[in-house]
Amino acid sequence: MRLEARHRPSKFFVLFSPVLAALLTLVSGYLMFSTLGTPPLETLYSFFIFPIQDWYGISELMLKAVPLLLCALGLSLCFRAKVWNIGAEGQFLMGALVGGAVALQLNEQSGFWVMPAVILAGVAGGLFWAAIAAGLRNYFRCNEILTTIMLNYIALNLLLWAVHGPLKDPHGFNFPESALFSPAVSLPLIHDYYRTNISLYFAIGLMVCLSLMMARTQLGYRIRVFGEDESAARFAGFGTASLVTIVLLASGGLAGLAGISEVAGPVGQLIPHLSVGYGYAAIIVVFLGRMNPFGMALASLLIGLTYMGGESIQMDYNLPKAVTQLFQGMLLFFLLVTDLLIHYRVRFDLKQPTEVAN
Amino acid sequence: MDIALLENLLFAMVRSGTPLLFCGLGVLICERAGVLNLGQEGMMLMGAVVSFIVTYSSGNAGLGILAGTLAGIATSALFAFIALFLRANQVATGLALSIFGAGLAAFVGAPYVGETIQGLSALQMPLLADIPLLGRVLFAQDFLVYLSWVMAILVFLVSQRWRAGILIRAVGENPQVARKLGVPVQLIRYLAVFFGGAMAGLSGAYLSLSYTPLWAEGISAGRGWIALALVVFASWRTGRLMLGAYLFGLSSILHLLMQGFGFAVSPNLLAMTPYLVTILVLILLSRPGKKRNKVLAAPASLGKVYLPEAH
Amino acid sequence: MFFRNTPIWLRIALLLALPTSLFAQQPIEPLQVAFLHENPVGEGGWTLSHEKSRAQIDEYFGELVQTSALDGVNPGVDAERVMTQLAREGKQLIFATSFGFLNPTRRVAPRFPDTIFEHASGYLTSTNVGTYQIRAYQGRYLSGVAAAMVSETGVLGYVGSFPIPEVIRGINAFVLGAQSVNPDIVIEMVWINSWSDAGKAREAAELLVFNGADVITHHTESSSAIQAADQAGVWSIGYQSDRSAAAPNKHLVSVVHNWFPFYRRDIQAVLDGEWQSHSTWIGVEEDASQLVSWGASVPPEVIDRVQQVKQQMIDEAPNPFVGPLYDTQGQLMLEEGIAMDDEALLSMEWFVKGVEGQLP
Repeated sequence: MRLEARHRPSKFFVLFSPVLAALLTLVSGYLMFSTLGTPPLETLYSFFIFPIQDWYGISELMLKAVPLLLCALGLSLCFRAKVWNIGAEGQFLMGALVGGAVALQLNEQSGFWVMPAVILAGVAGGLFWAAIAAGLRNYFRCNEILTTIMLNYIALNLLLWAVHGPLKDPHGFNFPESALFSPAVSLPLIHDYYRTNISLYFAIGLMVCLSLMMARTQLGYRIRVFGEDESAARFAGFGTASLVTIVLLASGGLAGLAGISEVAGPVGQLIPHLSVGYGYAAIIVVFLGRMNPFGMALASLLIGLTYMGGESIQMDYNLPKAVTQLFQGMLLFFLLVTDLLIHYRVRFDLKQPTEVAN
Repeated sequence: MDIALLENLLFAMVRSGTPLLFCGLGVLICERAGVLNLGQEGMMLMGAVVSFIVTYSSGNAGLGILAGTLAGIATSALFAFIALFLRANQVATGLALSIFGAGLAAFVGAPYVGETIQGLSALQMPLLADIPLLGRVLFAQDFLVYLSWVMAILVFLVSQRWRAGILIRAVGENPQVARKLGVPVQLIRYLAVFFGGAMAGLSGAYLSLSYTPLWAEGISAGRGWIALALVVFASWRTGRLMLGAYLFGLSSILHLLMQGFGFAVSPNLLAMTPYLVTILVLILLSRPGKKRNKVLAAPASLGKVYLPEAH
Repeated sequence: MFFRNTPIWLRIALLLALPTSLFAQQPIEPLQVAFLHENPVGEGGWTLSHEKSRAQIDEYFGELVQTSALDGVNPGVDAERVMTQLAREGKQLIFATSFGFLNPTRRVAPRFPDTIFEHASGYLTSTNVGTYQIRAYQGRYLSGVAAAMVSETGVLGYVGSFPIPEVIRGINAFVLGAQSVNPDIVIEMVWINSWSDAGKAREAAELLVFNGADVITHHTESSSAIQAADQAGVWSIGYQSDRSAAAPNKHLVSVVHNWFPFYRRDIQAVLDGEWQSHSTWIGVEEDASQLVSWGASVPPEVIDRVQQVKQQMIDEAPNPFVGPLYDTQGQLMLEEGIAMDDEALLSMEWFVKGVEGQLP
């Protein structure tokens, strides 16, 4: 077996490989559940369909998908420009922390400006965190993969410090949690019965804006060219530093928005375990969604579903919750494997010498 | 400070630094060869759970250590297949590995939660262990700690003294040129990744057999990520890596020690210092206006996909 | 549930045809009971103690009750959904076993007036929400008596997690128990600021042993502090569940949470249709806080003395917090002869005299 490069990328597999990856994941899930002795079809049903069989489930899926999509939209800009920002997690947490701190300050206030101020503070928190990575890359040529990983952990510890210290609820019996946010600083719900809030509109709006920007504007064009060939972009007079800054800041701002939407939304206070790995899962969303805003929307729904499915099979079949991580990991693995088919053809003739093993 | 306290401090430092040292050594070789494997946490957890299960079932810790190492290698083979053979994006593959490995470890380990094993016992060297201050630290450790020192020396020799180190560095700096000179680029990268897997597996084995002889979900507690930072902090040098591992280990338990002296420091602020220092080191390594410091900077092809037929 | 046992094609057909019938109650079905845990079950500790009691319920009630459990539920964003789903799926009784579920319970319970919610270690009740906890400080007091009797150095070591009232209460009770034997005894504290970090718990225990403690106890999920104490050759007192396996050489005793008496009573009340909102706090009188697995090398007089004190506690003096009590600065916190009320116990945020180490 050997790999043969295609002359041009396969359009079919660009679209089809995520579907193929999802199918392979389902097949693996089927095999896994059968070996474990649980009824495989029923378990898959419990994982993928049962959680969203009614409006409540669908509203919860939206709630889960929104932070993933917001983070992914920003990350896709970075990845298109080949800026490997792994820091959505930290930017998410800083958005939550800064926005949450402002929300606690304004908890007693009322007025039309309170809510926007809280959201802006959250966006600013994420922006600021990404700006550090941008500065480090532009001025000190620090590899952004490494710096954003460090910044994730610094952000997490800052959050932990804040909820154990200055932002701890003074009437909360020393539990490491902030006070509850008042309605004035919380995002309005779309419908009283469901937890989905207006951040869903933000996500949809930004998704449309982003796809228009990438397709129609000079900036979108520059980001694409920069990602294709950095030297060509430089030759064409595009500033490397400013592009890197723009994509990182956009990504940080969006992740910050996701963070504040989470704390000023369903969570309603600052707590130590705010993120369930959204920043990392969003990277899977970006790859799965082909960096296309609409594709990423679908992918964020699928990844959101894996969180809910894990709960569902734990309830029904007493399976460990780790299945969620297994499915997420498998999905990305299979996608990376099937993505190969975009650029390569698999040949099974043995006559030609293999090129791959050097 | 009296000698007994200092001795205890050094002992605790070695204990908490050993898992970081193991994992860091693997990361170092891997990154020197230009491969960025972010899946350390997944490999470490697989090593921890497999070595615990095997030790528990067989009653033989040696077998457990071996199995943990092999589990680390097997997990890294998954990375090697996707990122090297199929040339997928290394960042994405590594992330998938860390998520998948953590999930798989929790999954297979679930029935073994709550079981106990006899932890590795210290191998005391007669007479030498009685030397004041350093005796216990150097000569009364368990097998895995000694092994970590052997591996550190080996990595030092390989990367800084032997010819193999030059080849590895060539592959990491510029694989295309290396290939033209007849260096087996892919083979070296495979071996580097497997070595990384073995070291992460040993790191996990140390956690579940020696440091805290039990299995619990997420026993690695982010040490895989700290190891990635550590290698940057050490600017890809073995000696600094060893020093850094113990310093990072110490910083994770410093707040406990300081409570003993009546100081209250936020453990969370202390926990972020390794990462802050690492960023500082990154800055110092790459000051603007100066030429790129080839000895200290990150390998030039780190994390980049290598396409043999492209040149 | 009937929906779960039908073939998949039929389910989909039903799904399309009759979405509202899915949650119809089946009168002959067993009582549906669900447990919600914040932490993974773990190798010993809070969640495990609940799961052990759940196994006892299954055995005791047999066909009458069907239980299920979820662990590792994030209290921030996921708990509310999981609780809602459980209620919608027809669970009739939901035990939320962690303090962190306070706000999710407060939000979900009003929407499902026919579902009963029980919140462990909480303080808010309503028509369909009850709270329950164990007077674990009683067991702590008894183990303090035992610790002081076996200690030769007069220093006891305590590995703490977070300084919340539950933990502080346990520490203070332990101190008072130890002081009832030896008024000069000292308790050294180290806080690890985590429930589950096994490595830090181990390091903290080592540090305490180094500082002269010859009995180690802990308020953490992991058994690693006990392991470390045992390896260092000192006594250890396990907490929450039986930790004797982690200390094969010198285990003193384990102070165990036994939730079964409460769960049995509560479920029986629901089965009988007599459930009412309540705020239950049970202790040694119902064996809810138990001392189990005395070590083989524990002197018999220690066990006898603890038995006596326990009997006294059951018969006449259930509350060890009786004045005069002083804090670490020597300030009088409780007047002579007065027993501390439950409200003060629930919000305890100060250390009694004899504790060395400050709030982190």
